[in-house]
Amino acid sequence: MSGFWIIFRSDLLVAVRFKSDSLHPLLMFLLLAFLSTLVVHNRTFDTSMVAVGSVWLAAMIANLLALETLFNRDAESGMVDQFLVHSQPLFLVTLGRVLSRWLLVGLPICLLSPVAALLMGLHYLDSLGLAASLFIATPALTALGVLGSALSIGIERGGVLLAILILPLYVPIYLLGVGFGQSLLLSQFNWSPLLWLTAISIGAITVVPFAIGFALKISQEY
Amino acid sequence: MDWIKEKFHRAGSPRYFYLGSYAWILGCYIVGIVLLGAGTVWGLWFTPPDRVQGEVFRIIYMHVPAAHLSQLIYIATAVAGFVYVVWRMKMANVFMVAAIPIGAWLTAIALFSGIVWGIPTWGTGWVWDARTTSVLAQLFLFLGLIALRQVIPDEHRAMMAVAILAMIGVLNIPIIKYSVDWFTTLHQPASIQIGRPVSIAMSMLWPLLINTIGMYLLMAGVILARMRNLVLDRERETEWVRSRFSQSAG
Repeated sequence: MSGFWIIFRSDLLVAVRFKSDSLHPLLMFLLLAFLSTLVVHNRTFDTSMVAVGSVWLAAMIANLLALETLFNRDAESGMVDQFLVHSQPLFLVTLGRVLSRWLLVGLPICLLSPVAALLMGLHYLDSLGLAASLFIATPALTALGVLGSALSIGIERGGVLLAILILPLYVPIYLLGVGFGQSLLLSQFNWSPLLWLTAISIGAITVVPFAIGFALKISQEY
Repeated sequence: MDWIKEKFHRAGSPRYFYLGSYAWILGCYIVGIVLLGAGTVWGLWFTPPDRVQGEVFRIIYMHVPAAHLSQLIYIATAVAGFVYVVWRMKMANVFMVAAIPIGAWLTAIALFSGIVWGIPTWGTGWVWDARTTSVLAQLFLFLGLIALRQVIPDEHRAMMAVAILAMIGVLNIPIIKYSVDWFTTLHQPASIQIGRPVSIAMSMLWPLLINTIGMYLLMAGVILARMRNLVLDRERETEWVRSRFSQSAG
């Protein structure tokens, strides 16, 4: 079995055994979205433009919060050392980790996002468009987030640092995503932000696992 | 070709860098301050006011050089990070440490001067459009690099991590560069672009070019001086530093 499948399977198994680990981010997403609706869903003036941004923000933050302790347990138990001395390419291991995180956190957030968007009073077609743009963008969000957690291995209170490091990197994706959502609301459907997000996601999945592997190496001082 | 190789290797050695950099720093400081002074005086007193914007436009003589240079420093940091990760060159590490705070300050100056300019011209100091937001993201990237360096105690590990983050963050640079062309932003597209006629009057352009070159040189001098101090600090246990300073003391 290749390194990719080993880590992919074990991550999914762990997620099945400890369900709360992957449920917490979703709960966080819904809570953040719910808190935004208190302000955003307003009858006196149109706030749908803000709603798009709120859904995106909730998705990004929920995605990051799930990643704080991602590698810490592995680093303490010696798993990270095992990744490094394994004969399999490190790239496959980190890619497996990114994809399992996406499946456990990114994808459920996409599936829940239309609910959040409807709560904020968006039209259901716009909500589906928003979910589609999140679906395309979340692989990049997850990959960058995993990189952040690999960089902050062994640092006390790494969660805040993780957000400081990674949120600036989310800005281009956020701008494109919100731009697409707002073009939907203005009924000016435009492919180009979606194509850009696709390009960024494909690029992130291809390049970032190498960087994650490198960050793991640094953390063990190889 | 051999002498280029030799120069390159010598520049990578802290000792030769320390000995050779003094003249460069002095030259950069003198020429930089003269050009920056000349460009600023020309731009503030001798250039006619803009027909539409009036006197406010003169902020570009600070805004454009700072914004331009801050992006260049970000790219240079990422390149130095690559060099450090691949070849473990000590001087690349030193360059990153020296350049990151300068880049952060220049980004802050660009943002601040943009706000000051925006209040009378756009009617608002801050808009959340693609250009301003991505430049703000660059400031946070710089601050993130500083934060990451501070929390990891081991210098080598810290700079390796900083290098990785800097390389990934290069993604933001084309977004800043092309944000004014791709999105509809309040920030105007660049007036000076390679391969196109310049859409700015020559009497306004000259001080800007002089100021830009002056800013480049001055900041090169500042970064080199910071690198020189860092080299001295890191090599304080070595033989050449000890002998050099025991001589001058005794």
